[in-house]
Amino acid sequence: MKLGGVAIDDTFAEAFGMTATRLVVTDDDPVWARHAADSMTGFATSIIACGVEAGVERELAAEETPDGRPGVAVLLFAISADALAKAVRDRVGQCILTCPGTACYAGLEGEKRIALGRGLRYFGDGRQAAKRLGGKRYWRIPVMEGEFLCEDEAPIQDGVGGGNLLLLGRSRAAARAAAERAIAAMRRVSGAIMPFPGGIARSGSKLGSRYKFLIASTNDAFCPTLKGVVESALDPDIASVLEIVIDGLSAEAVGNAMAAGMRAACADAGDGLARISAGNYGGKLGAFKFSLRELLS
Amino acid sequence: MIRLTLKQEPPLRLSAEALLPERLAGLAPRAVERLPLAAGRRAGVVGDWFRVASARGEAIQIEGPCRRIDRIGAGMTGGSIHLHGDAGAYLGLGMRGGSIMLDGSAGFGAATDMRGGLLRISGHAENGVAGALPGAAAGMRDGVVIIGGDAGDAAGAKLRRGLVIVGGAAGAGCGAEMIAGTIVVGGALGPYAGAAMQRGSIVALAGAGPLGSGFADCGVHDLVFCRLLARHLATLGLDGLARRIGPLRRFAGDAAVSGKGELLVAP
Repeated sequence: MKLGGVAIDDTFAEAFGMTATRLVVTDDDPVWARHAADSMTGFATSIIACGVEAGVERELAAEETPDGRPGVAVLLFAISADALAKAVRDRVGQCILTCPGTACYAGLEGEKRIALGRGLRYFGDGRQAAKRLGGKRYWRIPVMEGEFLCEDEAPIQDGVGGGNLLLLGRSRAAARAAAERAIAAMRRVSGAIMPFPGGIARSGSKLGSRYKFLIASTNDAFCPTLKGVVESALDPDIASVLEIVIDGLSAEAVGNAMAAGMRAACADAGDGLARISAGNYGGKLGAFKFSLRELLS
Repeated sequence: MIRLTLKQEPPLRLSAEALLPERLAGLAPRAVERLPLAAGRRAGVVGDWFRVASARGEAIQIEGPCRRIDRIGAGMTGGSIHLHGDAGAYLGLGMRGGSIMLDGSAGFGAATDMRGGLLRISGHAENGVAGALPGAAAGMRDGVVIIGGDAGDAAGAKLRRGLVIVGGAAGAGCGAEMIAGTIVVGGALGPYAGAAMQRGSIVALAGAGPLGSGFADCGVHDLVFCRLLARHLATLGLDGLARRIGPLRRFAGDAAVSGKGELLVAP
């Protein structure tokens, strides 16, 4: 199968169940809401070492937020509710509470919840105040700038982590250009994030390594500089491979993002992008399988 | 549902606890007429005082004036009552859910010991609205009370949780001994507001007179909480009040007790 002259491998991305939440960060100034969101989602590329995968879902207009100020929607994914709760407490406490003008709200509805402001309120040293409006509870925490307002709890839900695309280019520049086109399109899909820098990872990994202390190591089958010395998955003309990892609030969101990314990457690809593939573990580990060709059909 | 039309104003006070949506649901008008409705110590039935008919819609319709009919909607847990004409004392006493819409004014103690639901009064509310039962440690514990006109003395006294909105003026002792919750007053705020309040917020949009010495001026602030409050008021159809919420002067108090409450006063 080819799309815009680009070969689409007959393979699938293998993804896993995760626990997810959406937070809404608002500020008087959208620039500062973005600063806070960027800070909170920093160092959140992979649960392997970061404990959580997070990213900005989209920017919100003032009329879309609870307090009528511009904001940013952020998605966070972790391996369990406990891990997510710890990451949310630490990241909101260090990156949102600290940022001038911000407030933080839950962005999902549901019965399963983790603490949000409830865990941070003690920073008020007894001067914090709880307020209930419209069935929701908020904490007002006095800070030097004024007051930090934070919703008491954040609903959580099942999510999907580890959807992925591998973009195989005939040059480093071509692979990056294709990935940038893909990311621009994927960011328009609601309910999905691409947690790596700029949405793109150059260091896709395989499970395990020859070192006992390392649980994941470089995906040598897709490393162009090793083509001649390993069982390579690359054709002779492939010079660079980039990966896009997708986490979503649903399998549908991940699939939609992958499809949008493939179509954008293949549009105006010229002869720079040779193939699109995906990473999997033979289908034995993940609960979700995203066939590249079925997503495009 | 059911429409009840008062035949004549009773010579003494009636207690209308029987007229709850959950009790009247599914009953035919004749069955409703036979429900007990005591007049003082004299036993009687609903049909003695009301003409009962079937009506469209989910709400119980009561055509008043019911100035001498007390405890309408007392303890209700769901459904709705639409009351046309003034109501007697203890409207919505201890109500836990549902809604009461009053086109008129309410007598003493409306929403006393309220636990949930919505009570909307288009006119005025006499003393003790959203207050506590005599001797109780706490008053209203949840829900929303909206008064279009003025409230008498001790509105929201001992408020434990919930939202009380007074479109007009509030009498003396508004929010006295408040434990938590929020009171919004669109008109003049009477003396002794927030006296001995422990926590909670009283928002005075037309300013306030001299406050007790237990309140400390903390300056004017544009609080995000107030933006949330304004948005919430707008969802309740109170756009006029919502638009008046802006930067407010914060007085923390009452230091005579824990001092963790606040009066937010239009500067």
